Amino acid sequence: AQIGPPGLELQSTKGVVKVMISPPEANQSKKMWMNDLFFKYKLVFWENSSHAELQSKDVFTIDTIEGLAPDSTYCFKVQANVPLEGKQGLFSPISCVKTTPKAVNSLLCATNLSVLALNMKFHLLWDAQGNQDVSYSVQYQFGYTKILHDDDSAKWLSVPRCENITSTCCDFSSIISSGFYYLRVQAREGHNKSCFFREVRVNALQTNEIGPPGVRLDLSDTLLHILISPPGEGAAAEKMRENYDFSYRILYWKNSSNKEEEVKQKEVKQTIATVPDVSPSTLYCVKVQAFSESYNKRSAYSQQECIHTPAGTSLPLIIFGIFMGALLVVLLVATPLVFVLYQAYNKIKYVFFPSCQPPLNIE
Amino acid sequence: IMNAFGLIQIGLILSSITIISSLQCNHLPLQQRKVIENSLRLLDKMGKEFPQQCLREKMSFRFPAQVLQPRQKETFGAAIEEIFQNIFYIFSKNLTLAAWDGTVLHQFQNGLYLQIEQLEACVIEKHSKHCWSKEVSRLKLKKYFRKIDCFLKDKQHDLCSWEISRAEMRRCLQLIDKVTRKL
Repeated sequence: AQIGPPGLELQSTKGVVKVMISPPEANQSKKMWMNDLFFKYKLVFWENSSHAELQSKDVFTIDTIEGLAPDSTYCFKVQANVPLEGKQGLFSPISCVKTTPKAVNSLLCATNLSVLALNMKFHLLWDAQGNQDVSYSVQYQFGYTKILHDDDSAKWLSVPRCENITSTCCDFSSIISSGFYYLRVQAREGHNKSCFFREVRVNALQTNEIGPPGVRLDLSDTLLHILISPPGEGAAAEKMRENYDFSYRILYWKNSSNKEEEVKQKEVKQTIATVPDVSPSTLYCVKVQAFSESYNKRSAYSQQECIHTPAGTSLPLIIFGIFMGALLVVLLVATPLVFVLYQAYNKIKYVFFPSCQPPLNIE
Repeated sequence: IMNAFGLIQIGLILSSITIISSLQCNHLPLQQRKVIENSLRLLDKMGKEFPQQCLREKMSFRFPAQVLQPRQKETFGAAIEEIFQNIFYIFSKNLTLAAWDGTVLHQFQNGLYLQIEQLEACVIEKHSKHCWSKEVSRLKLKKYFRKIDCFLKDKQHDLCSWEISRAEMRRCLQLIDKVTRKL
């Protein structure tokens, strides 16, 4: 089946061209392609002059084209593709529009947005615009709403605590879960002048950096226990644990001043690991890194934690000690017993088997 | 000589892109299991228990399980992508009467969309796409989702039709979960 041409509407405004695409079969009740949300639209455009180069861009149903020369005519056409089937659709009829002159205030401000994210704490940063009197409002959009055919303005939501602020930073952790998000900032100066910062797309779990895990050490007998606390705090830690499926890489070594000891490595999935047969009277040091195989992300190593193993009592010494102790106990118990038995024997012998016989003439 | 050097450069860039994208695609099965787990959890979370009064309106939709047969390994990625796309489509409009938690619904759709985009970046084999477009069980899959879509339209997207559809999508995702775990 051939994919039909999409509908194309253009609007030239404030230095950019706004593109509005309607999917093929938009007005038909019986459709060949039931799911019209997953068409991928390829926009082809060129300046209406001789030697004009064709430019192409993958666009959503509502999109903006920037970086066009002012006060010139550009022509556009768009095709709908179904990547899943490797099919390309027919192009729409060509539509041309003239861009606004240079003097008009641009809809977009000149600054870029940057995102910093650590342990699911997301911050949006930008450069200050103009003078002091500028207020900023940050809005966000769930990534998936870009492909819906609803009205664009309805899709943008306000980021709590980032409305009409004067600082150039916004903490948007509260709205983030997993998936794509788009963020834009509106800068307003007085009542008339306002412009939008170019929107930034954030892939939450990919952009987020994982902080180091916590480490605690414990000893019992000849075992060294390494207790790991997952990175992050509170709800953020829970969110990360659910999505990243952490594993931990443990590095441990004997910290002796004289010789270089080899660093040993251990990888575990649980938050507790044991190192068996540790040497006595040694300083053991440990550092741990959290990593996510599914997202190919690694945290920095934690601070190193060290613990001193107690002075070891060697086994022969223990055996000797036990032997001496047993010997002492035996002596303490056996000696009086032997003495008592000897006394008893003497008494009995004296009474029943006297050694002295009376002389015969007395009897 | 300069041309050759340029070609070598292009070759290196292309091969590194392939390596990078194939590395990302290697992590896809792990991520996919998480997405399915999350989606099932969110499906449960967005509404309450299945209402008793909707039991008599229950429909049998019959998901074509053969589309997930392991023998069709090369088209498996394409099959999953199409199923996710259709689930996304079902939940994309006329949800007012369902009265589900808006934030949870957003998260559900957003999670599906992310996975669809990632699958698309990975299912680039033209041969697999061609095989998938000719696949017989694919038509059964399209019929299955069209049936649900028509059911919702006929019932004017009322509460019961939504609850029945939600239960059905749950069943569908659980099946995919089972198959994905076996791989």
